Amino acid sequence: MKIKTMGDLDKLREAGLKSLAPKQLKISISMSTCGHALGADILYHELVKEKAKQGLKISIGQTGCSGFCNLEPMAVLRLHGRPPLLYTQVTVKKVKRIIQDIKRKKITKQGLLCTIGSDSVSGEPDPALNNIPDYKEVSPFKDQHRRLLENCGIINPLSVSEYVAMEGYSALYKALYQMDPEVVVDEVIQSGLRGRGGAWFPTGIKWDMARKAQHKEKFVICNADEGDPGAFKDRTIMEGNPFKLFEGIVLAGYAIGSHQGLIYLREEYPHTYEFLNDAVYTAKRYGLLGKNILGSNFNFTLKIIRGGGSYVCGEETALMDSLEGEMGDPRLRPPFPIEKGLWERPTIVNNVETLANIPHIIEHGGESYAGIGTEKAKGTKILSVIGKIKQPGLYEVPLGTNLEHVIFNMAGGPLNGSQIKAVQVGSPFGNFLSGEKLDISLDPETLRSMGSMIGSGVIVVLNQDTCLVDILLHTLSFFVEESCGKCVPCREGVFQMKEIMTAIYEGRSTMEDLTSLHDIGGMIKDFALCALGGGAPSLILNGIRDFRKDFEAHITTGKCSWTS
Amino acid sequence: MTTLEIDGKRVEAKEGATILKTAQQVGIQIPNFCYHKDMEPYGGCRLCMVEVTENNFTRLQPSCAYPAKNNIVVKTNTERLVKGRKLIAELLLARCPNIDSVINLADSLGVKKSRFSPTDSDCVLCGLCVRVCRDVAKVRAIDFVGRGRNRRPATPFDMPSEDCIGCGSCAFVCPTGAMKMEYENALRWRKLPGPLRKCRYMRMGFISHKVCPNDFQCWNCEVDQRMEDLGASHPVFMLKEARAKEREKIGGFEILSDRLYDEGHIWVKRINGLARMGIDDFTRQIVGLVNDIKLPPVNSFISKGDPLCIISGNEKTFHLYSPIEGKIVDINPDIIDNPSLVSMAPHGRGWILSVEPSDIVQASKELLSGRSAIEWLRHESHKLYDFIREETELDLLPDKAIPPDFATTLKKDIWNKIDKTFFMVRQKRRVELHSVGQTDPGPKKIPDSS
Repeated sequence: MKIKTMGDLDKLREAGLKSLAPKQLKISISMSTCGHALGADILYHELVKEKAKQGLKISIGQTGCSGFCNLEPMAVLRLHGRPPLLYTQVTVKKVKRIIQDIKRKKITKQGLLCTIGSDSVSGEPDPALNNIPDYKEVSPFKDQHRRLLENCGIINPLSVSEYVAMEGYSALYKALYQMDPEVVVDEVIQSGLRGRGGAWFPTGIKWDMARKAQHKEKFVICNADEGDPGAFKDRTIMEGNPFKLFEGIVLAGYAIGSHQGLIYLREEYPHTYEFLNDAVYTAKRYGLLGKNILGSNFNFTLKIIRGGGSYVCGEETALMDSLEGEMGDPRLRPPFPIEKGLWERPTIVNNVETLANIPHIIEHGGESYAGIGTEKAKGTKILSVIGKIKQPGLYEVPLGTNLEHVIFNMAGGPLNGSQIKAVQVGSPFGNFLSGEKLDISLDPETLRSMGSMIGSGVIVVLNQDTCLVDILLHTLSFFVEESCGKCVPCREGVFQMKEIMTAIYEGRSTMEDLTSLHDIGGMIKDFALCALGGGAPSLILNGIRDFRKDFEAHITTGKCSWTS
Repeated sequence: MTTLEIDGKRVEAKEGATILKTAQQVGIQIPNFCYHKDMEPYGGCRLCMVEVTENNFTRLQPSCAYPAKNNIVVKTNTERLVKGRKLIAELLLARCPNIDSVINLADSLGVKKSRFSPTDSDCVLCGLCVRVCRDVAKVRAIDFVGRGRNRRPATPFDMPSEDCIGCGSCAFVCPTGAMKMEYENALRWRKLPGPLRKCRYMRMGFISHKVCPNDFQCWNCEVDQRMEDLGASHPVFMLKEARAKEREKIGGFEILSDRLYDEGHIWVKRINGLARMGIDDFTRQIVGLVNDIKLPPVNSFISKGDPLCIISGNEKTFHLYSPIEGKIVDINPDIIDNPSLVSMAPHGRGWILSVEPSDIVQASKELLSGRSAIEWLRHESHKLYDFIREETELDLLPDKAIPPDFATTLKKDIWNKIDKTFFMVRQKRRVELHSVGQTDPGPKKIPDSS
């Protein structure tokens, strides 16, 4: 069925609402990459078998990842007249017990984390759910401001009707029928949205330049080469709510006058690749991609392309080289991609998270979007909090949220009550901030003023047992491994820095080596070709400044005083 | 005119020149290692970095690639740059401690010894060999493999390359001597039978195939001697000049790399500030033999989208529109006498008219050239063959020339569709044109090619 009019959209919305509040029991299992890794598919098949064996009157569905992979597989239980219930770490045994209990009109409390949106179901307070909190009050969901992730883990990611029921595609409909491309761009400029991939370039300005570029063929590239160590926000959006991303991409195409979109997907996401192709197929069937989108005369095709398996391919010019079938080497600028990008056509490259913000901006207006955030950085940011922390996962918070609050109140603080020694914001390029300096606002300006960056929002928490020399050497090895080798400062310079760091780590160095590191690091920052090389030295240099004790211990005693 | 300041000197730069070229003009030397005047800039060695102040903002830019912009201030020898270059030289010296050219380079920058742990490599990864093979010889037999320090130039899977023409330009440009010619591989061609047996000049495209009077022993060959004597350069760089005028066939249609193309199938060539225009090969093949041409008068003003000419042949007429605006200064006198010349040599003697453009720079920017022109023509070719397949019963093979009587076989409504989809894209307004000169009846019978 192709959606052509508002009436079609309304019909679909009703169908979606029915499927989200079904008459009979529905169990949806979270089946993203992380769910699969923890046995979601086994669980799903067991459930199907059980249903056939017992002749149960239940329906079995699936959802995406909600951002807390260690709590997988999750299951959402939908009973008629009750808010959906979210179970974590579900096993075959547990799910059998849940079904048994429901037959006895009971609700299993074991493994039940929260209800989802209790306010959505009106009526009497349910005595069976008396002590069960709503997800807005329970950790890890509390204090989050879920704009991008609101549907992740709740709706069926491959169901267009469920997405439409959650206000999906109304932004695109509005744009195609009521807004000129310039107005769309203006809204994005007004929203103050900035690129979430790490460079924080104003998205609206980029679009405006691309819209003004004169060429009949333009490209929209969605950068899904999520290579930052510890980042998994893009995967969660793609697997949890792909249509939101598609809607953003089509809106981008409409705004700049492009009819072709490409998603450059990280090579290491094979499951996501299959999944997105299914989603593209579904979107085409509903007339949400392809010719005459939503019955208008706007055409847009979308293709998923797997990456070249190199970290530097996430750099936008290397990414385009890779798409053209070349080796992924960063290009010289100028010309900029907005003038001459993929196949020398004007091209915009935006991160998944950036594009997923667009539907919200178009639907509620740029001004409303800019209502949260700091003065210069608007909206929310998804933080991937990982490391020695009680509840690792994705935390979507307004920009400008306090880092201490995120770590201690939202993510539960360090593991096993240990002390936090350092926190790296913006892995892999961000500085390691020492444990005493965590009372800062999370926004690009604050971190830049500290000589660091927020990057793509990866926060790595390290506790007292970690040696900074060890961790910095490890990070350097990553840069040496991922350097493309085109320019001398990055290829040779970072390698020599690693050699010196290895010498320090192994205790065969002098204090003069620290001066060498300073010299060479300063040169690389100035001379390197792209951001990968240029960003590598600063965290080392700042690491030496802030954690001098660790270095001195290695240099003077020749061994590490932290790791046993 | 672009003027900028380099090391305190006001310098005038040529259009499209880089900072490095402009600096060299006034005798300012900027060290470099991976730059070559005949190749696209690579920006890998980072020795040619200079401080560029633009809009009150100073940053380092590679002078080999950064365009000489108006009113920018360039400094080539500040303390920061000298210090950085010295470090780069140290790093290169650590990589290649035994290579003379690297030692000399380091020496010229005042570096005698490197403090870093040495590795014994003979390649600095300047990329000259890969680029000469790809951009100048247009062969692409070698490319980089691996990344980071494991990067190296190589043939696919390190096997002897089938694509290598044995020109030896990679070894010629290599500054360190890391790239070596394997004579076994180069001589492989001499052992091939019959027409496959070619010398390197035949394979480079300097001379067409012939039986070699020297039995393929280049050391006895006069051409080889002359080529070697022609100077300090490798023959392949002379080829670059020759290649610029070379015709390429895209989807069965000829395209010239020195022309600009418009989507209405008009080529434009800039000659002494004038823009000469003509029809492209695509139009020629579709219309077949031209027997009448209608043109606007000389000295009239033509705007963008005005009719440039109406040509007829094979009982059909075509409307072509001007992609640029300006005053018509010249009409090709030859085509007035003999309109069929338009279809004989559309890119050459069959040019149509010259205009004095109002803004040639702007006009050239809007036209297609190089890779974008090729892509466009390929797209048009697909579109045409798709059209023929869907709308007519003709069975034409892509990449083959269209038969000369193609236009005759088409029905009128289909013809109008072709005219509309391919040629009338620029139309803005209708202007009546009048026939000039006599009408050439054309040959009575066109040979049937099917």
